[in-house]
Amino acid sequence: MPTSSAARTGALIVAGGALTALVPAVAGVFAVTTLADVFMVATFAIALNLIAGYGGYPAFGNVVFFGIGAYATGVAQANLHAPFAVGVAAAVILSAATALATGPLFFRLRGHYFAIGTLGLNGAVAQLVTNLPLSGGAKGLSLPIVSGSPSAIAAFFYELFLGALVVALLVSVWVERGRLGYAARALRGGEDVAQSLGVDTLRTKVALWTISAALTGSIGAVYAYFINYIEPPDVFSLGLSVKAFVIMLLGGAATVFGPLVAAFFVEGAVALTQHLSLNYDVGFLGLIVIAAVVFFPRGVSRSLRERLLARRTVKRLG
Amino acid sequence: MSALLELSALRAGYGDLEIVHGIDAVVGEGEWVALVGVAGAGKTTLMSAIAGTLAVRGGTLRFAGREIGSRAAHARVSLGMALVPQGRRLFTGMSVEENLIAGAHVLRGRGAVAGALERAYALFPLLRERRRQAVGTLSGGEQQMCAIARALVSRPRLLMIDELSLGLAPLVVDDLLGALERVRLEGTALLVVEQDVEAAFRFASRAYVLQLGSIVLQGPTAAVRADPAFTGSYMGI
Repeated sequence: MPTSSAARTGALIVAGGALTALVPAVAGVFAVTTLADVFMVATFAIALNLIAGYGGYPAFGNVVFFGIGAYATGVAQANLHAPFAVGVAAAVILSAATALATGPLFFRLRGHYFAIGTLGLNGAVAQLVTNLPLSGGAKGLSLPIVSGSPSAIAAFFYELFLGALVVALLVSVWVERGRLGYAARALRGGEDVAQSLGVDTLRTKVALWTISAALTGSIGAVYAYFINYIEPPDVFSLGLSVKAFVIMLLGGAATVFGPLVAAFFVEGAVALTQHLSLNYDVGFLGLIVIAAVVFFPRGVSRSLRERLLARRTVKRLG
Repeated sequence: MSALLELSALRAGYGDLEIVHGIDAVVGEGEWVALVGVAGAGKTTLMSAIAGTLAVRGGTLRFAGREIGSRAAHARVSLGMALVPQGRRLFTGMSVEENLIAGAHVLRGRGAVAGALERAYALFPLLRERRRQAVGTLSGGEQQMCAIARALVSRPRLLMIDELSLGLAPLVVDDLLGALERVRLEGTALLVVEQDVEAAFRFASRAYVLQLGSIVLQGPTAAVRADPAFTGSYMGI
């Protein structure tokens, strides 16, 4: 059974996270903020990977949970004057509840239809938020400002995003090596086969999406507090979903560390191209997408893993 | 012998098309029953309806004394039935052992899963040797072993196999049949779909002959084989 190796991987993640937590003590504000952004994007991609990678359901509108998380904490902090921790809790609960409630409906759809359905959900929720009096509507919502020196503030949000990333990685390991992960893999092998092996396919999909939503909602909350001002076009932006998809596919769908590695690569590339030219940076991102699809149609780490499995097999046979 | 699986007037099909019409059949505890018929007779449709991946149109379907016609496929596995689907449908890109673990979904606890894997490996020692290999690299016979083992790890009371021998060498089929007879002696009933009558009748005690969605002949295998109508119906004459 692979459980001992899962425990080892988990310990490795926690140790790596603890080490990485020390970075703000030695690095400048710019580096710390840039890394925090990478952690946020990586967490989004890892959460997306749970449903889109492991589950095989392209939840293109997953950014809806980012927006729900951002607005949950925004309303809690700005309107209800609740502490940030309450905002995060509200973000996680509301996001997860949305996935749990709408999942049984959306999972009647498959493939492209499911992807389009989730886009509709994002559009509907964004519209709802724009028109609700509590959320400040199209004018947006201002959150309380964290007090402290710039470096202390940067470090604070860095640790929060890092914490979310560590949790997302641990959840990924748990999903991949656990019962849910095998159910998800069976699902990708064909829903009828999965069912005839005893897998409750609807429950599996809803569980994956709910976990994905909770993680995405939590970083939406941290983002809102970090940026101080949120408006629907920003936190329900499909650009974030697209970027997360690129990262997931580039790193390797249904792998634990693939999206993290790819997040560093893509965000690094974006920072570099923006540094070189503010006019062509988006074009460069497009080139990365094309290159990823052409050279690693199944993702970098997945291709490597399959090559490894093939080599081991050849060795065994030889 | 008490009935483990009981079909009466069972109907199933796709869309506007009814494929199997009013099937009456029984599989007893620990019994090996063969379901034969030419291609297009409705064998896979019937198996899918029993397993629950295809909705039952009418009639009753009872398993272990319970009406299960309206239960979801995954819930039927928990009750003790398992299906080896046509074409095996293994999870490619996963190793042999990962396929077996996926099959053990209904078992709770690591000990139970480990025990089930152990029994599967005892039945098919070759799979133990290959347990870390990708299933795509196995031969056809080994893949069928893996598919049978994947169904067996859920510890079913009834194992259903949709096409055991298709595309396999006769020696491999002998091995598989021998292994299945051991499974039956340990108390698992078998319902095996076959096009190859020789293979189908070797260990089965009874047989049903399906033709154009209806059972045209049934009884002890020896009697079915001796029936002049059998050659006629089976050859489609």
